[in-house]
Amino acid sequence: MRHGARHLRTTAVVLAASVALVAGCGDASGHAQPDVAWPFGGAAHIPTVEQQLYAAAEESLVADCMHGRGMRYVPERRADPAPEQSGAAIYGLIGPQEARLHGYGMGERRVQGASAPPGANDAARSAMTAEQARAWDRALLGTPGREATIEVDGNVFTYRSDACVTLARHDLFGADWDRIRLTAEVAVNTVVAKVWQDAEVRAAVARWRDCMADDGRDFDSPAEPRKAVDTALAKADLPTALRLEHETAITDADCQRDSGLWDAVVAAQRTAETPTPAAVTSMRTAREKAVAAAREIVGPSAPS
Amino acid sequence: MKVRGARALTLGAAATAVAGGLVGVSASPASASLAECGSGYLCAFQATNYNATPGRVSGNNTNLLQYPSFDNAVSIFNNGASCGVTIWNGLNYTGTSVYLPRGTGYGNLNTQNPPFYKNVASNRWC
Repeated sequence: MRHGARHLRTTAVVLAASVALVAGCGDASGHAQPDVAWPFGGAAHIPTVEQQLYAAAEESLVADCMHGRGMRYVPERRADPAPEQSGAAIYGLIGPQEARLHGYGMGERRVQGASAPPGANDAARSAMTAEQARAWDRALLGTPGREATIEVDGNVFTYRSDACVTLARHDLFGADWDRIRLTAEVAVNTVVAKVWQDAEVRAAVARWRDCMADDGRDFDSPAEPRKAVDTALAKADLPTALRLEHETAITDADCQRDSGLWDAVVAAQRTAETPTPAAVTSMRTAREKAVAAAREIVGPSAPS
Repeated sequence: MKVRGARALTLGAAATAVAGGLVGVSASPASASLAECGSGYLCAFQATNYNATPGRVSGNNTNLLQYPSFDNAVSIFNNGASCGVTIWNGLNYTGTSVYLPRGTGYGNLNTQNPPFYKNVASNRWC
């Protein structure tokens, strides 16, 4: 079994490297790809390293809360954080170099595995009686039935008001944080929706569609190639699926560039994100305060 | 049972309002299905306010759309014991993403977070 996994991993690496070698890693067209930033200059997006800082501080506060309730709790460590997401990825865009080096990265991730790391408290919780585990869960995650909601323009966010995780979050960010974050997320989603409705973007997608079809790849939207690759990874043998992924990703990236899709998205986003909603400004301010508070809680070991 | 749940909710909402002065805090109906989610899982429901049998995942997933509860998700809740979870509306961690802290969720994705309505496509913990 272990040999099989190692073999698959080697196959994936060799295939990725060989495809990259054959295709070349540079952008032969000489066309400078514009950078697609997160909407609102990233004010409503929390990068991974900042999320790690918050998590470290929250875990410290959660541990204090749990200990105050007579529960054992070891702060969780984020050893395997979520990958950083670029602004381009929001729109399913992929650059030529990334495509040539990694395809969509889907085959690589499948080979690497997808299991979550064990929690720091998993073993201790497993050793509890059912009644102890229920009490521990209630202390940490709140009492079922004590769900409270925050509503922003019809958008509703649910949390448990008596949970240590909730109290810790409110201690760190302030009690209004969930509302601020929800409002900012709604604003970002509105921008993304407006970009896809933009006439120039729609025209670029039509050109992209024709470009892909010229290469024998019929897709309606930039999200669809990944679905086809996922299907292949699930059904075809791995080397065949990896080759399909890389070939599709390279064609996709080249067609995105040649169709002017990136340029159209950048221009449409610039229009859609103006003027900046007050909630986005609030989130920027709240993040600045939270970073300072988290650094104070975590101390010298804070992620930077 | 119904009365007891409603009372607990009222107390919870009141406690939060007093502690934090939150704007727009209100009680929501208790959900037996949310209790069925189980500690440690990200749960997706094919009905609003977690009123359906949950589909559950505990690991990272590049394709959740293969699971009916996520492909048709109407509400979603992070009941993870270890950490928060980021969800994307595209396969392989692409598209729009939101971070769900532990013990939080969206009771109606159709109105609350439309990009994820019937389309919670991938997730990654921490």
